[in-house]
Amino acid sequence: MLSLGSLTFLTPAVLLALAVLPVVWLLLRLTPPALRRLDFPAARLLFDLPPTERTSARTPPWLVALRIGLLALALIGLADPVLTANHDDSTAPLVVVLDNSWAAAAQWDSRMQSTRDLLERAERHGRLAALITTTPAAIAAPPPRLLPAREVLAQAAAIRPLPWTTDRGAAAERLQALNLGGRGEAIWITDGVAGAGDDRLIALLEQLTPRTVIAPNKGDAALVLDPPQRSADPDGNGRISLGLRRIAPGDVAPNAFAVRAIDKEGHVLARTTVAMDRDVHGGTAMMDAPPELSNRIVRFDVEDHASAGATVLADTRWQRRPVGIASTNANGISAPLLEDAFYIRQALAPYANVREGDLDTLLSRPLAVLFMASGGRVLDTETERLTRWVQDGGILVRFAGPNLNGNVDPLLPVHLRTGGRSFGGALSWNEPAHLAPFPDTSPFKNMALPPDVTIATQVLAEPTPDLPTKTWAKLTDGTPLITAERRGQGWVILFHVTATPEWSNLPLTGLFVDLLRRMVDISAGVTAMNETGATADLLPPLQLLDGFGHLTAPGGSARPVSMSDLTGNIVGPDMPAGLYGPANDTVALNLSPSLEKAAPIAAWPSGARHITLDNVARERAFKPYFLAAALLLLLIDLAISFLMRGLSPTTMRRAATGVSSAAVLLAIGLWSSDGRAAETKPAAPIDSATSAAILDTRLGYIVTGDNTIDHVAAAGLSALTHILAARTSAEMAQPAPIDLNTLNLSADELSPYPLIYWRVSAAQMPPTPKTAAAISTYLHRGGLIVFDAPEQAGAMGGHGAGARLEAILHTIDLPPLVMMRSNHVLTRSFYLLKGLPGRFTDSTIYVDRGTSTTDGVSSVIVGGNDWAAAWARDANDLPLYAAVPGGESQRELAYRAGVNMVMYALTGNYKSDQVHLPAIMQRLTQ
Amino acid sequence: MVRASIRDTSHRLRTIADIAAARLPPLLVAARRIAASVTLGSHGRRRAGPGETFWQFRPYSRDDTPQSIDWRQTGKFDVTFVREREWVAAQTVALWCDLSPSMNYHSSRNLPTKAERATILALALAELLVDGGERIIHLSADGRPSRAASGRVAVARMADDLSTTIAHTGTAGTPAPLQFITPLPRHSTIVLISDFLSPLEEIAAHIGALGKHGGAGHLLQVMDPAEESLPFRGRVRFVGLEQEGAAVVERTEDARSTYIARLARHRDGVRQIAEQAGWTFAVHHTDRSPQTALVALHQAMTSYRR
Repeated sequence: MLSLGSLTFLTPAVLLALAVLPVVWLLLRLTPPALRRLDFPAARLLFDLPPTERTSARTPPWLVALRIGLLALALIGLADPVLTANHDDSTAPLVVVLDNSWAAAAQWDSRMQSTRDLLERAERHGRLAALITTTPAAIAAPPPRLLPAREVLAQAAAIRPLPWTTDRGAAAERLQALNLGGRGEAIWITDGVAGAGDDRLIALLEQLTPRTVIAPNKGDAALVLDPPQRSADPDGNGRISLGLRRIAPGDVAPNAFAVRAIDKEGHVLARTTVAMDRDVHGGTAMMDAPPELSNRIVRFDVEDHASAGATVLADTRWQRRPVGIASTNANGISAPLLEDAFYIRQALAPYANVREGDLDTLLSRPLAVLFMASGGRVLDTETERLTRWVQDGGILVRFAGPNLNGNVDPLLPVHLRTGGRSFGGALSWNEPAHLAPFPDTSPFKNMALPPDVTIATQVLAEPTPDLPTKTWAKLTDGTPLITAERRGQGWVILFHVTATPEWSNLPLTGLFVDLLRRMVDISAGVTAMNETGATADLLPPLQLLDGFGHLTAPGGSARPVSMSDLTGNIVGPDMPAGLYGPANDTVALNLSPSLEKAAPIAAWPSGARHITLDNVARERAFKPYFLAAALLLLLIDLAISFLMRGLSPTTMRRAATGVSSAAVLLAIGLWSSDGRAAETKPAAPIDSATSAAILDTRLGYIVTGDNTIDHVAAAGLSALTHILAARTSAEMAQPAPIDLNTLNLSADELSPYPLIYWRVSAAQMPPTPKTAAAISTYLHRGGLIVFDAPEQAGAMGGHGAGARLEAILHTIDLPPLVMMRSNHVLTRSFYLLKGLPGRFTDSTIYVDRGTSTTDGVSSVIVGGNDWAAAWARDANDLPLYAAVPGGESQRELAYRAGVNMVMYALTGNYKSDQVHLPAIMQRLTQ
Repeated sequence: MVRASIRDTSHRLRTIADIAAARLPPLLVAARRIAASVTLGSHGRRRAGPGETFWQFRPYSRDDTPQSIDWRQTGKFDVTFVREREWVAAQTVALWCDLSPSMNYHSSRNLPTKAERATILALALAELLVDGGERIIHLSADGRPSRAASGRVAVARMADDLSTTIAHTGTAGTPAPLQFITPLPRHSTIVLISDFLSPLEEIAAHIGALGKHGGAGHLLQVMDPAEESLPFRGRVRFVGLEQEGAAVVERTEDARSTYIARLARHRDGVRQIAEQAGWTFAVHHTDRSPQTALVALHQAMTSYRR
């Protein structure tokens, strides 16, 4: 290693090669440039030149300098130059204390980067180092030793954040074991969360100088996401609230955190933001979560904050199960506090999806648990159905009652004795009975027993040998209170009391809620229960959280835990957070409940330098820059060599032109692809013809290019415009020609015309796709085009204009064409007509069927009656063409047809009721 | 087998003819354009005789036919005049245009190759000569003369021959050795257009062979400007175009003066050979306009005749 000021070469041996450069210089000077080959007719004249002139050309000095520079850059680059911010020549051992708890996971990369930087620097100085992690590992690490920094680097690469809290007391012991004797530099990369034995570690660190504390950046405090609480908003919609805390000292930058609810596939089901102001260390995330959505949630976490503390797993207990309450209360009296189902409903509503109704309604949809609130018998007709439902995994919960007397039906877990039993009544010697602790075989065995539960009346079971195993809860005298029997996949459970406070005060206690919840809990997966109904003792770990809050397969050190251990919420190496139990009945153990007392570190080692992770001085390696510069010089040299070897300058120039024009094109492309530039461009000015058509309504006709046809169309429409002005209120300006060959014709240019007359000529080419699209758009927007192909009787088919018409129609997007019926609105829109005669009368008229967007108004009229020719008049107001066969009377009808067309274009289906005129008249006269 | 080879050959010839036909019009057009821009007086015999152009008026004598009286001139004077025309005797000119590989050279993309320039000059000259009523003979690349012919057809045929030769030099390998052994019509003028870079002995032999027919001759040396000045730099391997070998020059800029001296010496040698045979010698560079060369050549021919 070689240091020049703050510049350090990591591989200084390469620099020795710089000594060779002068030799290279000489060699490069001597080597003649490459021989060019040149075809030359007069080569003969150059044969046998006098030897004095065979002086070898030298490589130009600047080229030699370039090449030497290239070599030097490459060599310096290979020597790994590194700029160190602060170079210390300390040779004392370096002790890095690294917090790798859950709280360190969020900025783990920068922590590891800092650790590596520190160790690499120590390695360069040949210092010994030790790395002490403060979080106890599942498998105890060997005691730390002072090792060459290179070996410590390898150790550091294997360190991961662990999903539990630090034990800095243990770390202090390990530090003590190093026996540094007060000699050495200490660097504590801390997560900022106080833990056990901090004072001992701090005391030990204070023995070392210099000491540095590298703390998280401001605003990057550790986050704790508390387990979700379900609630309901006033409208009864499900809501989930999660507390979010940040473990940071007093002043902390304001920040906003996004809390997400995630389902099994990783979709974000709900996301809410918790904003925290300066000095605020907690907040609540409220999420709207309808039951069907919230049942899919498997985890909650904080976006962009991968840490086990900010991750909450939801197990199968979390997922709501549909619960039904069958009310057989047929007397119709509604007395809320005496209603059988009231207490069950109140108990389960926040936790489960409760439905009520009769059995038929309830069983018509999937149901996990069915409560039969009023004690009574199941009707024979329903017995079979309920039995099958229980066999398939349903849980039937029944309550005793006055009507449940003896073995009324088979859907009971135990045989009941006839008649009930009362305690503590006015005529009884006995006091009301109390609950005994839950038996071990009961799923309620871990529940706390409130002392004030009293049972006044119960039904009794016939004593049978299996009664104890069927008993889930009993009274102090041993009589069962809750019995259950497995039936196939499901359970039949009987409360030996009523669901109302009549027989006991159990429905009034919190225990009732817990009991019902547990029943609902076991409903989805009962595999944790063995055949006899006892809870399996140990739950195997299914998936465990790592420090980043990701679920991983349990490692070798994971061991099964019992349910009671899980409820203790003590998370540590022995019992990491994660999911326990079988896959369909998991129990989640979360880290955050054990972090209730997490607080920022209050005291720091005295005299320590404090820096944050972002401010840790980084080293800058210059190797890539040097090598890139060398490569650039190499490319330049290559180009120069090509030039000198006779790559013709014109080729080079052309290549350069190509490159520059490509660059220009690219620039133009970039410029024009700038969407905003295109958007902000002002709209193209409206051309004069279009603006005239907008200012004065007028008819339009398509220019075919055939002067005769165009003249007829213009004269015809002009005459029709006069007729319209004389007879109707449609006073329009002179018709305008429309040239389809105009560049950039769009529907906007067509839209001012209410009607466009298109006299098709055989010579006309079908419109281009762009024009056809414009025409289609015009028609879809409600325009009307009259196609006239006046060359033969049938407008469709044939050759000539008809064939051309078909070709044109093929290019336009149209609804199907149908023959115009005699009662079409076109024949009623102004005059009452029998057809649409023109110069001829024998052509069949087609119209399109109309679409819903155009209100059923046809947008094309296709015919061959040569209307324009019938309308056309010359300057002396004389007709241009004879109308056959009807003469002038037919011409008048042709004008009427034209008026109808224009009226149809202007008014649409306004006159469609005229179609029904005969019927209306008939009705009026009656 | 034989049929097949004949068919192949004819096919090949047709292809060559197609190539030639494709080249013919541009060559001819270029040559005609140049020839048209060179307006020269007719180079008649400078004495009265059968011809097209006016020579002189002279008084009517008894030997003259009455049809020869120029009535317009006679009306101006009291004497009866006869209009005489200059006697134009058709001269036979043999044209040879060097199309060897060394002619296929241009130093810059903007310049025509020497062969192109030589071909155009030859055709333009032929055009001029034919316009003047001369007969031309085209000496092919290997020295065989064509039949003497006059008129536009002769020029077209010559262009055709030249095109075919150019096409051949493009495709075939070694050209036939040049030797002028077939005798030409006596006193025919000979025009040789070449770069004359072959050894002086060869040039002397060719000129000797042609000169023994007694005709006058003109040499036009067509040179690329780069051949004149050797504008190259650095270490260059100069490769001859006619398999004469290569020369490696270490510093071309140093060799330049030697080269120019040698070129001058060579050109003097050619000029001497020409003078000994009584022929003229002129130099044309491809970066100059072909019209000047054509005018010079044409005037050399007419002045010799005078």
